[in-house]
Parts: sequence; C-alpha cells; structure tokens
Amino acid sequence: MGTKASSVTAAAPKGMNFTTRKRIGSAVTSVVMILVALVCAVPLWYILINTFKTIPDMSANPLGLPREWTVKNYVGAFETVPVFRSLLNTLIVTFFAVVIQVLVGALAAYGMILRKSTFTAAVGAILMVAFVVPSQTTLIPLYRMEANAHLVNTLAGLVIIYLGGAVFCYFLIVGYMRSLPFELIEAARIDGAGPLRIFWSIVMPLIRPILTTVVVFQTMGTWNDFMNANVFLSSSELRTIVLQVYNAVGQFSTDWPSFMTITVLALLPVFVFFIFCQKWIVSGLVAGSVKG
Amino acid sequence: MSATMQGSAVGDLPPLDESLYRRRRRARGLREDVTSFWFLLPILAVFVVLFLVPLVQTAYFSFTDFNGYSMDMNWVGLDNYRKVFTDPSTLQGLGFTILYAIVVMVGVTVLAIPLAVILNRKFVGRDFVRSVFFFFSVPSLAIMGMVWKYIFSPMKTGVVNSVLAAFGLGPVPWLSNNSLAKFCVIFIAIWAQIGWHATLYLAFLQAIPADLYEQATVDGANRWQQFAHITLPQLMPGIVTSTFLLMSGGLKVYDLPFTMTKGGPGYSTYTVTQSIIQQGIGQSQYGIGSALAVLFFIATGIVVFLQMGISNLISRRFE
Amino acid sequence: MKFNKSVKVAIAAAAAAAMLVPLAACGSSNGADSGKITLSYLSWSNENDAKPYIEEFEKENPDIKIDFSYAPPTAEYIQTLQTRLVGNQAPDVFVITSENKADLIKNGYVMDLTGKSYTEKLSDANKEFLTKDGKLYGQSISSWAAGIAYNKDMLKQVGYTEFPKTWDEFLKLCKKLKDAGISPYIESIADGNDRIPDSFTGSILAKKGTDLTTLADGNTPGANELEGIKAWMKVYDEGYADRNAVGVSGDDAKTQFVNGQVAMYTTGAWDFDTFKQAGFDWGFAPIPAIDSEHEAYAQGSPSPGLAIYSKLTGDKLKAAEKFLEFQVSEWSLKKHSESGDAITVEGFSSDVDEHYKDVYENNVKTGKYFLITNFYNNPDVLGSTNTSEIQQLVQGAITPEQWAKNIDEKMASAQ
Repeated sequence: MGTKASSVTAAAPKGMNFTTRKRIGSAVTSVVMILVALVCAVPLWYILINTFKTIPDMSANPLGLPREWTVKNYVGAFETVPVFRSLLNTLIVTFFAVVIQVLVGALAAYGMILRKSTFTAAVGAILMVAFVVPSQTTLIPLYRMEANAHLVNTLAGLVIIYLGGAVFCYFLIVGYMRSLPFELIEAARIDGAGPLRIFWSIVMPLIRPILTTVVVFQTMGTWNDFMNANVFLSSSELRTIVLQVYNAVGQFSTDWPSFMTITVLALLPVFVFFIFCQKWIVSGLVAGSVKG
Repeated sequence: MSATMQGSAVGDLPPLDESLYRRRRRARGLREDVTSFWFLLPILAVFVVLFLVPLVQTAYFSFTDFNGYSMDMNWVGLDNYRKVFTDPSTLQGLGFTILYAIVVMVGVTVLAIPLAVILNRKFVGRDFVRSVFFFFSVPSLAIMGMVWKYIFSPMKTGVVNSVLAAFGLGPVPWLSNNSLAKFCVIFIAIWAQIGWHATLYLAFLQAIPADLYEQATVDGANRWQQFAHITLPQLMPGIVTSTFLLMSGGLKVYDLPFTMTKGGPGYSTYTVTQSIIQQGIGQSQYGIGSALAVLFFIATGIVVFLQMGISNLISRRFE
Repeated sequence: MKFNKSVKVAIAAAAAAAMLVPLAACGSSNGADSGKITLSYLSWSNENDAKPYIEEFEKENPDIKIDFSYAPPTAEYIQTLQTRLVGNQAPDVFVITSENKADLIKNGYVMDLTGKSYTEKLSDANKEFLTKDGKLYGQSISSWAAGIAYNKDMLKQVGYTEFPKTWDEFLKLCKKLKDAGISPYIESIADGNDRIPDSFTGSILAKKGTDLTTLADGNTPGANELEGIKAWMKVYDEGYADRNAVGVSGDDAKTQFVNGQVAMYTTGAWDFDTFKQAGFDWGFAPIPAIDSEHEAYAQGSPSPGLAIYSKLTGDKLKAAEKFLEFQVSEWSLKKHSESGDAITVEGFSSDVDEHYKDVYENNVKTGKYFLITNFYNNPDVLGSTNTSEIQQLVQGAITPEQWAKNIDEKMASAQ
C-alpha cells in the first residue's frame, strides 16, 4: 500500500516543528515516568538499602541511607548459605520447568486454533478448570502421588509439579494467537507445509513477544516459588535459593537484613534475565510481516 | 478470513462433482482433528495428572472425616457440607473476597493498559522504568508484607503518616481501621500487579498491525482517538486474558491479606481461602476444608466462566 | 530460523536432562555412606544454627549420619511435616509442639518416651507440655518467657529506677509517663501478641489451685481468661496504650521502642540482640502481678520438643535415641545455653544474659508461666480466633464479656 511513504508526506509540511514537538514530548514522558517509577519503587528501595545496614540501624532508620555502610550481610550470606549450590539447583529446576511448560503450552495453543471443533472447545473449557483450583488444597494428593512414584526429594519431581504452569502458558499464548492474522498460517498450509513445520517456522517466530513474556513470567514464578520447593524437597543439598532465604526466619523474630540480602542475591540473576529479555517482548515482527 | 481460505482451496480443486469435494473436505477435517489432538495431548496429560486427579481426591476427602494426618478415614456422606452451610464463620471471608477480586481487577486493568501504551513508546529511561514496574511483583510477600506494614503503620512513625505530617495532616489509622485496612490491602495488590499485567499488555500491543496507526495518522486522528478506536479494540484479546487471570486469582486470594493483617483487624480482611486453609490444615479437619474447597471451586468456576462469556461478548462487538 | 534452531536444541537438552535428573537424584541419596545408619531429621532451626550440634554428634557417633532438612517455623513447618507424614515420608526425628502435638499423638506418629534416660531430667513443666494420658511424647529442654522491655532513661525522667511489681503500680507509672509527654506502652496486636492476659490468667489459676491439665475438659478459655483480660484492658481504657496497636506488627513495635518513641514494650529474649546493638539503656522486667494477692506469672511456654517417629525399630531407633541422648549431654546443653536458650533441665543452670536473669530465675526456672494455646483442645482455632477477637476488643468494637463469649462459642463449634 505504500503507507510509509504517505505518512512521510503527511508529516512533511510540519517539518522540523513536528520532530521538535515529538522530542519534547518524549522528554516529558521520560521525566514523568522515571519519577512515577521511583515513587512506586520505594518498597524495593527499602529492601535494597537495608541489606547494607545492621539490625539496629535498620530499626533506627529504615528508609534512609545507612549510618555506616556494611557488607557484613553479604559476607554472612556467602559464609552461611551455600549460595552457588542453591543457585545451581534453582537454575536446573527453572530451566527445565520453564522450557517444557512453555513448549507444552504453545503446542496446545496451536492445536487449539488449528481447528475449531467440539473437541477443542471442550478441551478449552476443561483447561480453564485449572485456574480455579486453590493450590493449597491439592498439595497432599500431589505429594502422595509423587511419593508413590519415588519422585519426592528429587529435582525432577519438583520440575513435574511446576509443569502445571503449562496450562497458564497455554492460556496466555492462545489469547495472543487469536489476535494474529490467520492468513499467514493458511498461506503456508496451502504451500504444502506440514502442521509441525508451520508451528516451528511460522507460528513460533510470530508469537515471539508473548513467548518471551510467558518465559519471563514463568521464570520469575518458578525461581521464586517457596511453597512447593519447601514441601517437595527435603535434602539440604537440593535446596533452591528461595528456601535459603527463609533461613533467616525464626520462631519469634526474623533477621530482616539477612532475609533481604539473600533475597537480593536470589533475585539478581532474574533481574538481569528480565532486562535481557525485554527487548524480545517488544518487536514489530507482526507489523513487519503483515506489511511484507 | 475463513471465506478466503475456502475460496482458494476450492480454486485448486479440479472441477469434480459436489459429493467427492465434500468427502475430501471431511477427510481433511478428520485429519486436522487428529493433528490438533496430538498437539493437545501433552497439556491434557499435564491437566489430568496435576489437576484432575488431585481434584477428584480432594472431592473424595470432602465426603470423609480425613484429618490430614492419617489415611484411615471414614465415609461421612454430606456431613462436611452440612457443617459448612451451618457454620456462619466459614463464609466470613466472602464479602471481602468479592470486593477484593472486583476492585483489584478493575484497578489493575484501568492502570495497566495506559502504562503499557506509554512503555511501548520510545523515551529515555524506558528500559529502566519497565524493569522497575515489573519487579514490584517479584520479591516474596514475606518481605513485601513486612515493608508495607511499616509504610502503612497507623502510628505517627509510619512512612505515609510521616509524609502526611509534613503537610500538617494527621496520623491516619491505616491498618488499625477496618475500612482503611481493606483499602491498604487492595492498594498493595494493585500496586504489585500493575507491572506484571502491563508487561502482558505490552506483548499484546505488538500484535496490532502498525499500518492501522499509520492510516489513522494520515486520517488526522489524534493520540486519544487512536487509543480509543485502534488500541483498545485491538487489545480485547489481551483484556480478556488479563481480567480472567485477575478474577480467578482474586477470588482465590490468601497470601497478601494474611501476611499484611492476618485477616484483621477483627475479620475485616478475612478471605475464603484463609478459612479453607485454617479449617483444613490448621484445625485438622481436612474433610471440612475439602468440602469448602469444592464448594468454592464450583462458585469460582461459575463466576469466572460468566465473566469470560461476558468479556467474549464484548470483544465480539468490537470486531 | 535462528530461533527455530535454538528451540530444537532446548528440547533435546530438556529431554536428555529429564532422564538424567532422576538418575542423579537417586545416586546421591543412596551413595557414599552405605555402611552408616542414616537418620533423617526435620529441624525447625536453620542449617546454620543446627550444624554445630550435628557435626559434634556425628563426630561422637561415626557410624551415624544425620540427613538434615529444615522448614521454617511455625506454619510452614507444621504443614511440611504433616504432608510428609501422610505421604509416608516421615522423618525419623522431628519437632513436636503445641500446634501439632494433639494430631501427632492421636494418629500414633510419635513414640512414647516416658521414663527414658534422656527425658528423666527435664523439668515438670516441659514434661507436662508434651504429655498426654500420662505418656510423654517429646523432649523439650528449654523454655521461654515474655517480659516488659523498658527504656531506663525514660523511666528515670519520671523518677523510676525500679520496675513496678503490680499492675496498679504499672498503670501509675504509665500515667506519670503520659503526663510527662512520653508514650508509655506498646504491644503488637496485629500479630496477636497480647501477652499480659496470659500472665494474669496463669497466676489466677495458680492461686485457685486449678490443675492445668483439666482445662481442656471444660475447654472454655474465654471464661477462664476473662478476669485477666479485664485487668489488661485498663491500659487501653485509661489511654496509656494506643488502640492503633491493632495495626502494629511486632517489627513495627520493636522499631518504635528502639527509637525511643515509646517507653515500654512487651516482648522476649529474641529481641535482645537488636536492643543491645542499638546502644541505649534498657531493662527487661517480669510482667507485673495482677495485684498484690497474686504471684507474678509470665506469658511463656516450654520450647518445642524433639519426637521420634513411632515406627522406627532396630538400628534406626537406637540411632534416634542416641541423638536425643546427645541433646541433653553437658556439651549440647552448654551450647544451647550459649546461643540464648533458657535451659530447664534439672542440674543445669543456664548462664543467661544479664537482662534476662530476673525473668529466668523468677518465671522460667520456677515454671511460673502460662500460654493460653498450650492447655486447650484445638489450639489452632483458639490462636486464630483469639487474634481476631482481641483486635476487635482493643479497637473497642466489643466488650471483654463479648470477647469471652465469642471465643468459647467458637471453641464449642470446633469440637
């Protein structure tokens, strides 16, 4: 259609004025959004800054800068907690759990939009059931099931528990697929491509924004899970990093600076991961391929 | 869309008689059924093993006097259900649970969509802002609860009250007043989830064809008109997804109110899931807890399916 | 295309690892120490705190290996233990305490430890805590008791160097502090830590000569505690404590006390580290007696005990008994005492922190402490109901009589 050309011509008469206005607008957005983000981030600041304080310093002045900066909490964390072993366990569990559940979810979503029939409609409705099950009520049945299969206290057993997230992945991905132009898939089908090939080489790249989003969501969720890991793992050498965070919890009081320090250490890898991933979420792939 | 597909398929066919064409089409339909079945098989396996079987067991427990400790249990029929209906305290949390689910759903949706639109623009510091908003929801509630309790402390020393004091406003009894405690819990829930849902909307924004906006710019539509007439309607699938998650999650809520207030002051932020857990695990009446869970499961199911149906209807009107 | 390839690699890796992970896990659990007896222990204190004991025990018993696991107290621990028990993955040694003792005993998960060498010297209060129908099911070697932490400088400002011994004197002190413009007193009602009523009730029941083990028969904690509750409420009715305490968490209250925003705070030895490091002049006094007719009791309780899984036999049982024997050894008791536990084992005197001495000598060692949830059926129902009802009481939404009625009705319906 040559839309690009026409938008250029439309903007042309306004010339420099237009770009200047745009630049000012963007600067205003920057200032406003950074301010809003900083105000909203006060609780995160609270966590971060208190990792550099002693317990009484935190009590005396919870929000301000430390009176005396200390890295004692970090040193303590590395001395008392097997940080690297726990990170490795978490990494293994998270990697396999997320890859498998996203894959299962994406396959299901594709199978769903491939064909509208009573069968797929029924499956779609049944899968929704998973969202209304309160997870605490299925804990004992799941544990007994895994105990019978000799899967408790293994990382593989924990990965299997996390696979329940596949339903969630499916739900996000199928919603996204429905908003895609179906013509691309049809065109490939007419060209004689098999369903699996279409899935790999056309659908997967098309849904990259949601795929990345889902991977990010599930990575956070799995990495951060306490309840399942606490119940299903018992050996100390298998403990994930989030379980180590709770080392700071006592019967009556909690050592908050330690708690926060290990939390920061535990979340640092996923923070980096998110920053790395976010450029994959936003990419004008669909727009480009439709235009082409 | 499907009309064009059939059109081209027919175009490829040699001019045969109607019945043969129909038979071929049926064969292809069957083949596609089989294909889509294979794609759906893994998730069905996951569903059966991790959701259906445990759920059936929970349903079975609800007809027994299972105490959560010993597998020797007796069939008690509908006793547990009778107890749930006759004990008024089991449904104590219903009011707040519904309020929470609805207000959080509306609040997050209204705020996350504009946020996503802004985060989709180019501006300096965008990556930083995106990461910060997303990370609100990441640290565990155990920590966030502790932090927020300090921020919303009803004493003069609380963070919000100190800020108010600077403007000469007087200490507000945040967490010690029933209505304000409800407000605080809901506020924190919205705060924690905006970034997550904005990230979701951000992904859905990528599916909107860019030429729609280009055309609108040519037609002289301003930003607001573009938002109302392109972005919002095109985001409908995303809104359906997001509100469904918020509603189903909101009705099941437990951790946040419990960490913040233990359900208090009094019972003002008590939730249904909290009573399920206290009955089942705390009080070793797993049977009653299970009965409550089953009833709640059915009720939640009805609500979210209704909501799903309504939002699907709305989104169809936009098409 | 690139994406496509990386996905394929990922799937291949996932498939390979899915097969490997269980194998690796199996390997590690059966592995190296095949000649040794492995004793699994689900601890309630974290690995770092438990490590010295385990290392010393393994050193003394080279043929036994402790398979350590940990769940944080209290709710998470109870749930984890329950799930493992019902899933037939019981740890050999685990923790028994007020929240789970009834269930563990009723369902036959814990071994009868009556008359064993490693339970003989425990104090009566500790034994009573884990006894049911004359049988002892756990080894509790220490106790805790709450007291009132006070800011010495602030009390000096109003002419006090000694802490009041009775509640009326305490209220007088509060009045003087208030008149001097100092917030007198705080406690954390958001966490349900109303500690004073328990201490009053303990002394009232002692004066009446009530056998505490019979309390569960009537199971009316509300009626029993009403007198104590009424006396305690004076501190709110007369305006010495802020009713906003309903929304104040323990950490928040502690922060206020440390920062000199309030003169007195009811807590226990677990906050001493913070107080000490904060560097101000503070004291820790026993909770005053309800009146001069009664003795001063504390809110307090025996600490959780260790239990042995009832189905253990042979070498494993022997190993478990050795582990409990080790707990009451001189070395272990000394170590516990050093890390701040108030030991209540006959023939051993804890060298407690100087601030804690008064409470330790007067309340802990003498067993003059009381905790409402230790003596009634369904302690969980009582605990959670009490938190909600106490909050309404402090808010002024209900009267002490309504409080007692609500508690007892809830207890009756839970039976």
